[in-house]
Amino acid sequence: MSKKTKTLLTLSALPVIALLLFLSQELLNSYYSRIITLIGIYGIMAVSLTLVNGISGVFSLGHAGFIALGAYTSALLTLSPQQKEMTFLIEKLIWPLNSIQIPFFWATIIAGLVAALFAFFIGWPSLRLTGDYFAIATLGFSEIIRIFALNLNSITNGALGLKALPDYSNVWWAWGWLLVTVACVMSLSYSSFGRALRAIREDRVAAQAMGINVFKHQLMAFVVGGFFAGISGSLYGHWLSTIDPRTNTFGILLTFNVLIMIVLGGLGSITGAIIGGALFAFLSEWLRFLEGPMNLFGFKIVGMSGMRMLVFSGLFVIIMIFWPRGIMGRSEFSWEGLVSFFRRGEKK
Amino acid sequence: MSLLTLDNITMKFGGLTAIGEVSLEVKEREIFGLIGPNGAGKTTVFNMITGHYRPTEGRVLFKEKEITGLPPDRITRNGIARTFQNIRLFKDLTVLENVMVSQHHTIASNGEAMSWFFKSVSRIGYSQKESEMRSKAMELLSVFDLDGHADEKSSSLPYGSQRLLEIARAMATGATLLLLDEPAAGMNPSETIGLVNTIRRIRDDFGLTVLLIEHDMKLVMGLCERIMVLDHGRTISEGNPAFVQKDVKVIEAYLGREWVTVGK
Amino acid sequence: MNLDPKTLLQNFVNGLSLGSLYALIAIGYTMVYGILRLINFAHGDIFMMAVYFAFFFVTLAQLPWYLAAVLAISCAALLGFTVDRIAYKPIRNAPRISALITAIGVSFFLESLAVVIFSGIPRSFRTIFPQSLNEMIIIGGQVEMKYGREVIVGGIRFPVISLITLIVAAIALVFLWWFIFKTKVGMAMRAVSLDIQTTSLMGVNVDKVIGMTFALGSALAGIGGILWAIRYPQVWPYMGFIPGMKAFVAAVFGGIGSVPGAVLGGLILGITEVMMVGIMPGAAGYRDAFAFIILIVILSVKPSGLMGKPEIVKV
Repeated sequence: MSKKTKTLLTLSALPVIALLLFLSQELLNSYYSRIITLIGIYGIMAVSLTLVNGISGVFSLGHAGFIALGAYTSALLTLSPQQKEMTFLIEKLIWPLNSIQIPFFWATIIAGLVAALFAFFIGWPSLRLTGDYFAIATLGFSEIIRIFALNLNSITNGALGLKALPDYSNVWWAWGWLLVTVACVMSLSYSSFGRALRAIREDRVAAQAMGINVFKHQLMAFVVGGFFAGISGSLYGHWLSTIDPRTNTFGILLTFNVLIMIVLGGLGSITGAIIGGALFAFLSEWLRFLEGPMNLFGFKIVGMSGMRMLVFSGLFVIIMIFWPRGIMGRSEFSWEGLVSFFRRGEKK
Repeated sequence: MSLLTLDNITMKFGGLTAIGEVSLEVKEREIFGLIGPNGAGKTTVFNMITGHYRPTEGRVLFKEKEITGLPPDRITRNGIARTFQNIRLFKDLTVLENVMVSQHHTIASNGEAMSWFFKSVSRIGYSQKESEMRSKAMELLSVFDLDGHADEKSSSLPYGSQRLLEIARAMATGATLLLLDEPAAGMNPSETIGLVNTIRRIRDDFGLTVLLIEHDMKLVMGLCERIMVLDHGRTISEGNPAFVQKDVKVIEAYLGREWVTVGK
Repeated sequence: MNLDPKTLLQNFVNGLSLGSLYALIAIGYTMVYGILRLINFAHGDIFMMAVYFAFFFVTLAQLPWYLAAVLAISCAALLGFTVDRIAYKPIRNAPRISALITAIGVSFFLESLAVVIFSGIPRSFRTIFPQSLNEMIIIGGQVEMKYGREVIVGGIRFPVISLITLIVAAIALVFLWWFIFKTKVGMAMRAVSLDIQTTSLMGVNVDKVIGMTFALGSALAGIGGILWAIRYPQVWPYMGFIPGMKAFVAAVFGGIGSVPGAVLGGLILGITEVMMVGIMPGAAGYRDAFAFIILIVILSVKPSGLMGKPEIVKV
């Protein structure tokens, strides 16, 4: 299949997707159309983590921290000064944040940049460590961010959190940013940088021996992953319309959820990440019935909250043991792959 | 001129002296052999040259400049590349990608790195560089007759070809000094002869200098112009093949004292 | 800043008791890591399960508290062993990242299991164990007349249970030293931690040894859990996460793989955590972050910890 054909196919797929998204907003009720938006947001979270954990082979457990940073940053920038005046009851919000209000687009970009900045300063000391230690260090940083957010009353409003965020997150922002994320990460992945990252993942020592500065490359991947995590945080915060640091929404549970997405979809595959994100969103909704009363063969079973998490974590462990490749393994979607998939039964 | 100089290098791990006061000089375009019984410390010397270990004492000089203790990636960028005793190819990457990885540092070093990073993401001005790298890599692969396998996963190659790929990969870094760690390990006699010819050819055609570790004596004696023998971390003999072969100390190290009186 | 010496001393003592709890949990982490190079995320949740076991042995099975405690600890050991058998053994040869991810999955699984079975509402542990354990031992101080009664004012005070915890931690350390260095099984453990493959070639049933290690570490976590719950009488499904993380930090601080290092790390961490809050009461909200900050600092400065040896990678 020629490059031209492939590019043509990819470009013509975009309006189709756009049409589907448009229809989803028109035809589905608001509950389900919000899920479609959420899938886009999950997709950004998953793809950004795939760049770090999947392609670079660096195991980060700190993703929730960057998402939280993005959420707080953009919220503080999109809320009007009056709203901030009303919400910040314990201590007044510091200047200049208390008098700024900027459009959602720029707030999201700044959110990404802030997260990327933190990723740089977190990655710098942490990436000198080997696998497990790095994972724990990033987990530590993620928790530190959460605890600081819970206590810095003059910046984050402490335990009160931020409420009544304007409802900017819609399908177009979410999927638009998803497109940008996928384009960037794929571009990076299919370049010499991507090759270098994969080489580092395969054999760090050999990669170094071939002239690659492992630390620099991993740091770059980590920062880019952090940037898009921040973007996803901005979208997520506005989707939730509340940022409450007392719940587990931006804690290690979130990191774990994103991990589920990428493991399910295939660790190392960008397409897999999106599939994983979508599956996770669907399963989360579908499994809701487990938490309400059920009718099983005429017996009424009282729903148990937390059942969903149980199913997810059980599924996760089973996948890790029996099917670690996940759905896509390390392969990506390709037009050729799609064609050969349908041509399987043909005789040569 | 002396391309590589090891000036009295010593490597101590706690109380154990793995390498003791080894000095050697490799001249440009030489094929130099490093041999010795198992455990003599040959790979350790390699590791000290490539920066994986920092010598406890002594200096390593490349092109008369000191490179002692520099990190491995910097040493490679200076022009020294290696292969590994146990094959360390990038298993999940294709044959071609393995070689192209070695070219990455030529575009990613220092000042240029950020601009190439953005070029990679935006794809502006990128494709020409990429096809340049690709054709250079294919050229290199054809030297080893591997170009036909370019898009196969490197792990699917037969063992002998994998060893050749490691050499191609090392060459692709643009290095002028190649450190080959047991390149003939596991090869049958005809493959070994092919390897000897290949190494000579790449030395002649690419102007390389080769320092190699080997156990296969036919290869060493047939290929190397000068040899150094290590035992227990120390130099016990040095010279051309004819000299080293007859050196009593070498025979003793390999075969034991009894053989010294028995052998000719 | 509150630098009153009496308060400092009191905080030191409090810290010592908290630290010995961390130490007991940290030992389990360090033992498993020493053998498998695996950070058993689920360790803190075994701690939590042990407390629930004890809770239900007393409330449902109506067992006397000491019996419930022993049973709970045994169940914790069994749980640890089972987790290894089911979840970790199948991936023994997988890359370490996979093992780590699986451990996280197991941790969440146990937590959500607890939520489903026991419900997420915190329950009070106060009535389970005799109140005498929480009576204060007072050292120093003066007798004063207050409200018509004799009351001791000032001095250093700590509950009986803290002293018991310290003693238990010391006993555990001695027991482990004997076990690891003076028994055959202990020697097998040491061998496995050095080289699994060779040890199995020597005819040692490596899986059994690993299982034993998990059981032993989990039993200690169980003991730590019960002692913790007596001191802080509340049980809820996520109670294991923060103490577990802190114990892990302690293990890394002391040198991961070293049992005395874990104990030392636990004590130091407990003491510094309490003293930090004591000296700067305004920073109390940050006390959990403190452990993580220590973790980052150690990993940056000396990743092998206080008593660990740096790993040399062979190329």
